[in-house]
Amino acid sequence: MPPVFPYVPETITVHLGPPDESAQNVTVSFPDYIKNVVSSEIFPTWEPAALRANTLAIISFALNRVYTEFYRSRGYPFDITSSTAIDQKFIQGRNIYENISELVDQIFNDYLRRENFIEPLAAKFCNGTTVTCEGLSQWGSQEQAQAGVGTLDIIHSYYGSDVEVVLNAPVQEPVESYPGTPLREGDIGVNVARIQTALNRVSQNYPAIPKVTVDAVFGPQTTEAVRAFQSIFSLTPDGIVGRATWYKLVLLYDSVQRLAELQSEGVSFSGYSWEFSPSIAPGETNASVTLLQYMLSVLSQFISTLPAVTITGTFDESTGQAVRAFQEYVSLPATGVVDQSTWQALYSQYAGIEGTVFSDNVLFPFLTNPNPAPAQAAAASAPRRNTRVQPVFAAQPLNAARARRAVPAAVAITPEAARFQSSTRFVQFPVGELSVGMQDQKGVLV
Amino acid sequence: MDHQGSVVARVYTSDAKIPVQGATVIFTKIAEDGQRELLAVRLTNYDGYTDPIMVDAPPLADSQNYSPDVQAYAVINITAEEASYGRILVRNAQVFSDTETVQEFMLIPSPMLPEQYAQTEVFSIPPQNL
Repeated sequence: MPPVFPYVPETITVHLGPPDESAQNVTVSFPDYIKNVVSSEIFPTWEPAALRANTLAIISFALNRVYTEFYRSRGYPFDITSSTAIDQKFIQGRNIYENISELVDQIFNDYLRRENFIEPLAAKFCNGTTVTCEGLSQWGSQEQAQAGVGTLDIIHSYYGSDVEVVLNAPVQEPVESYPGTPLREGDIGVNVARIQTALNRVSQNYPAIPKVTVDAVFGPQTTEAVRAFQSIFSLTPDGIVGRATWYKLVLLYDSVQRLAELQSEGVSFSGYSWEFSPSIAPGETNASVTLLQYMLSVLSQFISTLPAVTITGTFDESTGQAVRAFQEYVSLPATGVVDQSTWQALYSQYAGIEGTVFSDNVLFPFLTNPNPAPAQAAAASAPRRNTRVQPVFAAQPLNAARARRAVPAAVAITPEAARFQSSTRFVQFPVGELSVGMQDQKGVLV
Repeated sequence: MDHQGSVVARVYTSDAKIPVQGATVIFTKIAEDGQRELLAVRLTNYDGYTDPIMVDAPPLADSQNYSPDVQAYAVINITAEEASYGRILVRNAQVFSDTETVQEFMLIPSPMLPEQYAQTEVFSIPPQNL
């Protein structure tokens, strides 16, 4: 049963072939998926109106597949395919174009629908030259745009005049939805605190972004940080957080948080045995299965053909699917059963990640309590899929206000929100020489 | 040719897009006689981006108007690599006149076991049959 109101998913899973053909399933962020499809379907040199019209059609088609659960309701473990006979062209690993990327960043959560209908339009299209169809003609849209026809008129000419554009649709939780109006210097409130927290966390990975104090006040410091973020991510560097900047920041922050949660969860497994055990079998519930699911979860963040796995401790069907996908990735027989060689390959890949990315103190500064008690470890491995990233603000949302006034006591900045505001990224050369026999405290970045 | 497009590479790891600084990015072109021509070698900066390189491309009009027998873009190969990650090669990345091509690389940290070292993932971009 589809949800009542369409939302834009955070990620989308694409089957790289016709639905019943054996092929990999790739999971990518929704904006990245749209950028790939637009870059694959049309030319980036076309008129802006044609680019917009085609992009809206592509977005709508994808959202229709997601909203109607077209494939999922038939038991397929993906949202859409890359087969152009029935879906739209997606080419894994391809290049995109700067102007397409900027366009998609601005409109990725706009879509088409018929008046009085809720579901996104299943907007069909074809090139209009060698293939004709009911729906948008790609070359036809470019010709119309060259003649001066606007985006909406192009859309109406192919889909009918009763098609409307839904603007700024909500994005799937836990992504925070854009507040609706741009945030700029002078604004205060919980959304400003959100931006500041996200900027600080992202700046751990992108050192050109300066740190800001999380005080829920959009001051010059915050403007500077927003501008730096925008410069890196090809947004207009105006220091104002409009829709494109908001979602770019928030989607990235959520991905970073997800990875950070997995990284800190790994610390809680320090007492576990990482040896292969034959008890890792479908249907079993034990600590080894927990480790298996944990490793698969970590790997799915780095390898886009591996699906995410919920860490339940029980070897279920989705765990088996993830194991199969991993076995295909490392060219082992895709049995879905974990044998010695599968476990070794899995642990080897996980250790490669653990020893490089996860051990980086700058990317993942130590928690104040790096070794939680076993009871907390059990809680940490509770089902995690689609878990809302815990809100760090103990406040009701405030309307953005331009006038300067004292921050109401209701906006309480939790320690978690302020955690990254003062950590350093560059390790200073210590004063004095280092020689054999010296000892010090390992530099823990606060 | 007087017409050129630009190409930028972006190298990162994981869905969190952690930038890989100092990755080596090699841009090459296959000439008509099959010889490989080196266009540029770049290193990524703190944010994982290279500086743009310029590539000769067909005139804009070839892609703006229906031109069935003409390839409206140039193709180049791009490799990204960094120690402790698997290498990625993209074949036939497309470059249009007056347009910036962005090629992203999601590098995967190398596994610990020696026999799985030196993996190269290859993506071949098929021609655009618009």
